[in-house]
Amino acid sequence: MFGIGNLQDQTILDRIKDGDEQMLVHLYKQHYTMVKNFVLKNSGDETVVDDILQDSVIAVWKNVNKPNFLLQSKLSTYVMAIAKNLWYKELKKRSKFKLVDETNHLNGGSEEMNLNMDQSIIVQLVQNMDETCKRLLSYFYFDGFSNKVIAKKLNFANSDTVKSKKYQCFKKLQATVLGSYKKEDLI
Amino acid sequence: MKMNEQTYHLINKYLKGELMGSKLDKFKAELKKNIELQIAIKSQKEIAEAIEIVREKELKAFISEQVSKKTPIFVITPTIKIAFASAAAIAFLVIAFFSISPSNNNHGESAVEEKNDTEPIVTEQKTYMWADSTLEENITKIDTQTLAITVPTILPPAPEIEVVDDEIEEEMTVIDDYDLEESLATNTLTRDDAILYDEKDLSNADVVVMEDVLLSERRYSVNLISPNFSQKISEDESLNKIQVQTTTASKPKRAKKIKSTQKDVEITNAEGKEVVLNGTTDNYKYTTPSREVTVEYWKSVVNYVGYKYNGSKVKLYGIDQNKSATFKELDNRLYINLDGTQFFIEKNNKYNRMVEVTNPTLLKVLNE
Repeated sequence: MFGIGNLQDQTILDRIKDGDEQMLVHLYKQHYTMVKNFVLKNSGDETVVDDILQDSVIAVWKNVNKPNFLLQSKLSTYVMAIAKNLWYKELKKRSKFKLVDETNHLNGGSEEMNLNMDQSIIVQLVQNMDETCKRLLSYFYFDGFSNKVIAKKLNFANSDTVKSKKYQCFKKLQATVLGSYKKEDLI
Repeated sequence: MKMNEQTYHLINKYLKGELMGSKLDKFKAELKKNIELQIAIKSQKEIAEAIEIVREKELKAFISEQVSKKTPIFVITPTIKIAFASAAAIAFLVIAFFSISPSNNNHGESAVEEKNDTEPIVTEQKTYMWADSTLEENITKIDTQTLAITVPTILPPAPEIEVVDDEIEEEMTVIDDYDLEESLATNTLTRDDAILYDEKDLSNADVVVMEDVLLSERRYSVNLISPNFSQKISEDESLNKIQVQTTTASKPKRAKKIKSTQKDVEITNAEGKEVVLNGTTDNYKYTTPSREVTVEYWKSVVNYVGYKYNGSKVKLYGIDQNKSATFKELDNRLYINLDGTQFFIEKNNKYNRMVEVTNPTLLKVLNE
């Protein structure tokens, strides 16, 4: 990223914990060449590098914000380890997919497809939420930010405000979601 | 277990794996028998997953956007420069058009804005029409040199300091650094940009132009300094051995000085013969003032400091009229003394910057 240059690992971690999204871009750019070389050497092509690297830095982002996170190596080693695992996982999925592919053709639709359709409805409902609620719930469920960080990012008075606002937003979303489902579908 | 805020936070802890020990056991026991809690957990989990999907998409989009974003490089090409200049000119015209009260133009008089108590003297009155015929403006013009900057106008070429070979001019320094050319460049158009129309009736003038203002007009006598000596140049001698015979007693020491001094000033007398001034004023006499010169003090709207001299009239721009001024003429060249500082006044009918006389010999002659 322009203007950031080489940051110390701890600085990057601190900024991730503060919710500085520019760190994602920084990690991406710093590790692009390494991940690209690795993927190309391991039966991959350039088209998947972007996906693998994006997933890797997002995984780092999520992990760093977990309460028990402790970095025991260099950050670049950690990022590369995640990228490698993701790529091996992808390769595994691709080989499995080849085997299952023919069976799918015979069976037609599956339960998984139905589940994805249901999930896409909820995703749509989440996207239609008001911006503050969406960001609040995203920061809590995805990013794993503490209430203190969320309060700072969303300009709330304190952690308690975040806690109660979070419940209100969730209740509102849940009501919308439950309105789209039968209770039995959820059991 | 009631479904309230507390239960919601408890489910969150359970789903995040933060519930431990006896609290976890108690929660699991409740989960087995409470269908409502099972539904709540299921829906909460589904919603949390959907939120995660949305957020992940958002972050990926953010990364892609930032990575693909390149620093914009804005190159100012000549075309863009012309476009900017045109836009600025149009904006200027619009502002000028709307900022001027129409009442100023209903009296059939000059729409010149007066800044000083003294009345400006209108010397020229012209109307400009732009080439595209979309905009006609009547402009009252006072002086061709420094028209106001409220509207683009046609101006004469910026003044230039002439380079002359004479050593006297070479040693003169420019005291005013104001770059007129630069200051006018942004607000003027070339003559090609407009069609000039003669217009005497200014009653319908739409645009008021701030222009130079004549502060006062005075007449000064000019002291003529002319060389008063009979010279004898021995032609068989080299230039270095030129001896000047003055009307006063000849001084051998001075003749010696003439030979060696390189900085002495050579001037040409009326007969066209070269005379070397030896640093004294013995060779000159002052005659009684034989002529007068008219001096006009002008205030320039662009704070131009300089002069214009056509042989009979000197227009001084940006010069304090309270300063004492005396004029002397030496060898058909005019010099003005402003509060003890000698300036060279060149007769060329152009706008000139004030050029101070620095040559010591010439200064001695002028200050005598």
